[in-house]
Amino acid sequence: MQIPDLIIGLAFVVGGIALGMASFGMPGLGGQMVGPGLLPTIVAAGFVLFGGGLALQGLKSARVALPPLTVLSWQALRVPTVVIGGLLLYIAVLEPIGFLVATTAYVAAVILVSGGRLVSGLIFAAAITLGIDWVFLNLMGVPLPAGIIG
Amino acid sequence: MDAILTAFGIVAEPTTIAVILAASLFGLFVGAIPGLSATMATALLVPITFYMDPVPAIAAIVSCTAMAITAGDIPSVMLRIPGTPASAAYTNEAYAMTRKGQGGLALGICIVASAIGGLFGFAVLAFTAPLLARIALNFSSFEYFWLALLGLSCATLISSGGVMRGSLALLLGLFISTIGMDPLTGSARFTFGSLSLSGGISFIPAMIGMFALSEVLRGGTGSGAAKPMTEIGNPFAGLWSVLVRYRKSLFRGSAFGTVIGALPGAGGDLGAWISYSMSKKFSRTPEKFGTGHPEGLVEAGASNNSALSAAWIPAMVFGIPGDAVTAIAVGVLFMKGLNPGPQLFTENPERIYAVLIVFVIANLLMIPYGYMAVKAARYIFRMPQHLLTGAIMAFCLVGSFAINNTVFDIGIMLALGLLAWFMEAHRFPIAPVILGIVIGPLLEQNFLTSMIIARGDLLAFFERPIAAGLGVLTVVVWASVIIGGYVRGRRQQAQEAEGGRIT
Repeated sequence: MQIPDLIIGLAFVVGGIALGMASFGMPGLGGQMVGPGLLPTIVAAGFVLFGGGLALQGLKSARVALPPLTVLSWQALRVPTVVIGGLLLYIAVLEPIGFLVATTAYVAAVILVSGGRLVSGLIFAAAITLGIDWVFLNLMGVPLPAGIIG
Repeated sequence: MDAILTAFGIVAEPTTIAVILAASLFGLFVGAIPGLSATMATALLVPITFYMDPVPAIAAIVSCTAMAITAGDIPSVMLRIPGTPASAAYTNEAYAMTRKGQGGLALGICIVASAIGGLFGFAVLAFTAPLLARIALNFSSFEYFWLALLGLSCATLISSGGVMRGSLALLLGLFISTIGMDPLTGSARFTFGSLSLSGGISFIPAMIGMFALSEVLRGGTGSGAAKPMTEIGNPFAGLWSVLVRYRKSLFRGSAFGTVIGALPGAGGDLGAWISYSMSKKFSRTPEKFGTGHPEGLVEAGASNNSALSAAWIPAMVFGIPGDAVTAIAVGVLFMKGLNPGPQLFTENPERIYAVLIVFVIANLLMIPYGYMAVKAARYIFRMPQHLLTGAIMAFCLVGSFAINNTVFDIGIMLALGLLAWFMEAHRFPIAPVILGIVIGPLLEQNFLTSMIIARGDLLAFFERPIAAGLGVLTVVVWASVIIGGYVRGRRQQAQEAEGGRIT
């Protein structure tokens, strides 16, 4: 879905004001006019300035023609949903169940939702996961979470 | 002369040659894996260098780093996953070439321009190291601040999507860079009590998320394509004519990268970004940038590796590392009893010359090794789309996790991937966000230090000659964009009014 520039610009302005307020509250360095809040304050001012500019641009173009609202179908959102939802699940289970199981399952799910077949997807996912695990463990000395297999 | 002949003898020893070949292969392998950086490759080599003589030890680091940086361009060109922050400067351009069916040429440019840039940096290192190091040491926080701001400005102003969107993207990156401990007092900012956030946002998972994950998501919705419909051909076909056509860019990138690389702390990242911007600024066809145009790739690719060679200048002459890789190398030099400093050139000249010869070999090796890597990597395009998507996600996961061995970084990759997906859908450029994250700490550190030195007097930022020059250049760059935008706006209004009268 396309969000109009006016809304995005205003969101930056609001975000900038919130950031500015948070930055002003940061303790400064004793006797100095600089401190941890200086750069965030400048960034906040930039958000307000350029966000305001974008909102104005959006307002001008909205007067000419409103952009059509395009809503993506479930079919189009299927892959992103599995990729994002799967990643959230992956983050939660990686350490308890381990890299080999979690990554094989996640990669197989991504392959499946992208149009692959279950068996070939599982075989490919297991092969690439084992390969990565072997390289990291044996060539680089970086152990990946072992989980239930370890 | 005796020292040079002795140096050739040291390098020609079978052990040294074998170390160079093996370290290059290792660098190629690590650099080509998305998410694994040249710094990581170098760090992994350190324990092995314990068992080596001084020259092979340094040779291993030099050849591994040079190869890893160049190999980082392979996933950048083929999968839109930048290997290093420097290659992120031209990732979109290189990937656009791949989608136009010029992936082979893009890789060829990256390899050969890198080799030429590296050799240029070496030549400068060999002949002017002490002089350049002395100039670099005169840089104070004021000069570094302006340099960082100039780099950020250039990258923003040339980005696609216009000044407004580019600036907002850069500010987002700068905001992300402020998350974690502040560089002055060490107090936590925007961490919401999270220990993981107090360490800041690592740029490797950020890059992977913003370039690779967002591309997978775009491909999934049908608004992008995770796999270009093309094969990688001979990387050197047509390369000569491109290099001849853009010889000025090649020279400019090499020279500029050398100067930037010689500045401790600036490194090749900033060089590649500014070089790409300069290339567009001086180009006769700036409108072609972003559509798969080789000109910027030539300049930024050369700048990337010349900076890498030049970063050894302050490292060797004063023991001040130019970047993370040379910081590791300085440690190895000390460990091997080759204490960096001017005396290194007088007490152990044959060893220094040997290291310089290794630079030449490492840069020349890039061409055959790079060719082999490209030939091997072309099988990627023969994979079905769904398997390639699965493989990309597997590398995204491991690349994000391995940098700090923490699941938190996978979350960072996801969050920034979603941000980039949203931004690209709304015509925001994502490269300035990455640059903001990478250069933000350098900018803030030098800005705050300068403000303390100047007691808040902003005029002090223009008091030193080089700082004043860089400052004026930055102001001119911004002024030209603002005035240009105003003039264009007026012209457009006039044309619209004219059109209204005619109708």
